[in-house]
Amino acid sequence: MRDQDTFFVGYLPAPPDVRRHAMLAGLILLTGFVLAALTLGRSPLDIGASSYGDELAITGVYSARPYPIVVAAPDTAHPRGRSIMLGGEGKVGAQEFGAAFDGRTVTAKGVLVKRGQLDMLLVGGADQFAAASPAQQQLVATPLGRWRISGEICDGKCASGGMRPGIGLAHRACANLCISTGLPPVLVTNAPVEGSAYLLLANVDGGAAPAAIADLVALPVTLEGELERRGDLLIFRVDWSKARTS
Amino acid sequence: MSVRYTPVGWNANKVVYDALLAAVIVAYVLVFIWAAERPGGAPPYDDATIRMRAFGSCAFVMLSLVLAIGPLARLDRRFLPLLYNRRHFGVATCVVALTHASYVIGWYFSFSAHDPYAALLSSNTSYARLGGFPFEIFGLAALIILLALAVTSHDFWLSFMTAPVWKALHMSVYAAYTLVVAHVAFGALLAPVLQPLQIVVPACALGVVLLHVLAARQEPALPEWQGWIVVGAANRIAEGRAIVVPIEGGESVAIFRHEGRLSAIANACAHQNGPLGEGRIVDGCITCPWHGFQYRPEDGCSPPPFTEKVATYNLRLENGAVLLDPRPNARGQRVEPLIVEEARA
Repeated sequence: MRDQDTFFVGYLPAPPDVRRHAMLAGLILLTGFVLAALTLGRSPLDIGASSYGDELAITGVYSARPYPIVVAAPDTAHPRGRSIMLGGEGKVGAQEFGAAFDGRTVTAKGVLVKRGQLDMLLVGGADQFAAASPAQQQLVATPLGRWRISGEICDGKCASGGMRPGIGLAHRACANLCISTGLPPVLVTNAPVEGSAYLLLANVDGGAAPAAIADLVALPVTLEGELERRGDLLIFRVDWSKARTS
Repeated sequence: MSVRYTPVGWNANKVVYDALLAAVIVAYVLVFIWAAERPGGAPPYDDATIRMRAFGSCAFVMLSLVLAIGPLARLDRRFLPLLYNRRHFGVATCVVALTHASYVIGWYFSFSAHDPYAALLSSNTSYARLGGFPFEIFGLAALIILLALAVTSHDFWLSFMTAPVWKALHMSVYAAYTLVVAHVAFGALLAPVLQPLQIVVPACALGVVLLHVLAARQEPALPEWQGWIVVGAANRIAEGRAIVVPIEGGESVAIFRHEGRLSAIANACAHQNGPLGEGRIVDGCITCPWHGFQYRPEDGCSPPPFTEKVATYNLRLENGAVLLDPRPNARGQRVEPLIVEEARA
């Protein structure tokens, strides 16, 4: 009976026309999934090139506030002096590793992560710091006035290439976790500020950003505060009570 | 049909089904990774994030399809072979979703002094605001539901819980799907640039809703006369097939025609509430289109050695029209089939 032949019963051999339809459905399914993968796999997001893994030793003055940085003396490549943020390996801040060297000249060794102008040296522990001589003079921060700046708050490690893309809402919880462990928060600005698209964020008193920053991470924000330059790094001392999301 | 429990009652159709399913998943993930790595350019995502996105999007598409198979099979019976092994499809979806979650935990929430699972729950607590809402919680809730459904998907649990409880539990797949849509909507869909996902996810969700609406319109209500439902002329029902008559309380009755005689039984299969009325008479038994469970038309009992039973209903002829008494008889109660005029012609 043809009518019964077209009825599929799973534990019986499939009738020829049912088998034909099933094979066609399977082929369509496979093709559909491949096309979906091709479509969804591509992304127009462009965050620029980043590098992770170059070993670097930098000598300069260690500064613990607001977050650990080393500021090397000016040279031809960095006429204002090279400032580099420090972080630990993994989601760990470098505060404990170099605390004994605050204000002193050190050589710090680690792995460089870099995206555009933003870079960070990842140090494995306190043994990666060594006192260096001759002692360098600590660079004086240059005040750049009061600013209101819009952008997105990220953690400095992921944003500088620790993860890709390391920005956006999907990465928000990861960024919060990074910042809570002592890694420095940065503001990725909507437009360059004094030639830089990244600002290291601090509290208005020059210390670390407050824990409440977690509510603002990965959202479009407008921050207000005092901007200063230390070496080639811009530090934004934010009045957090005036922070706004949009 | 089986009278004993085995981990999987394999047969040729299931093997082909599962092989195709595995091929589809592997093809999707490999092609996704290939496309995302953007050969020759700087990919915006690192390897772990690409895999996270590959498995996450694959699970979403699979879950959409799992929910679409039911209404598709009702609208066009040629999709029934897809439905036969749908439980394996569901379990595979859960495994793919679990792989997505393991990449998220292993990448975003590891490498710190905190427990990764505690970090997952504590790193974003902005529950009071829409922007930046911790969308991970939606995904976690959906994953818990999918895990519960996968674990209880075996027929042992169906028998242990009883069909109504099992069915009610497994209807929570719709809650899981809603949670998954919310998970994506509050996370990946809020990307700063337009991404294909922002089109595909709403399209899939709307497609699932549309298919369910269209399938639900297949059973229009019929008029009543003196407490009986007027089904209409007997020749509406083809030999070996049934029509489905909705009754009060969201239930429905399947009226089958077999060798010129009509019999009415509950439309819900005792196995997984499959739509018996969309099945056929095979070897003299009503055969469920989902998994082939069988019932005798006259008493709603599975043939020995099987023990499943469904309720029967009374029919009568009045001025050439078939009438259905919407009050059910006991499950397995014999009702003499209604002989219809034209069958003898």
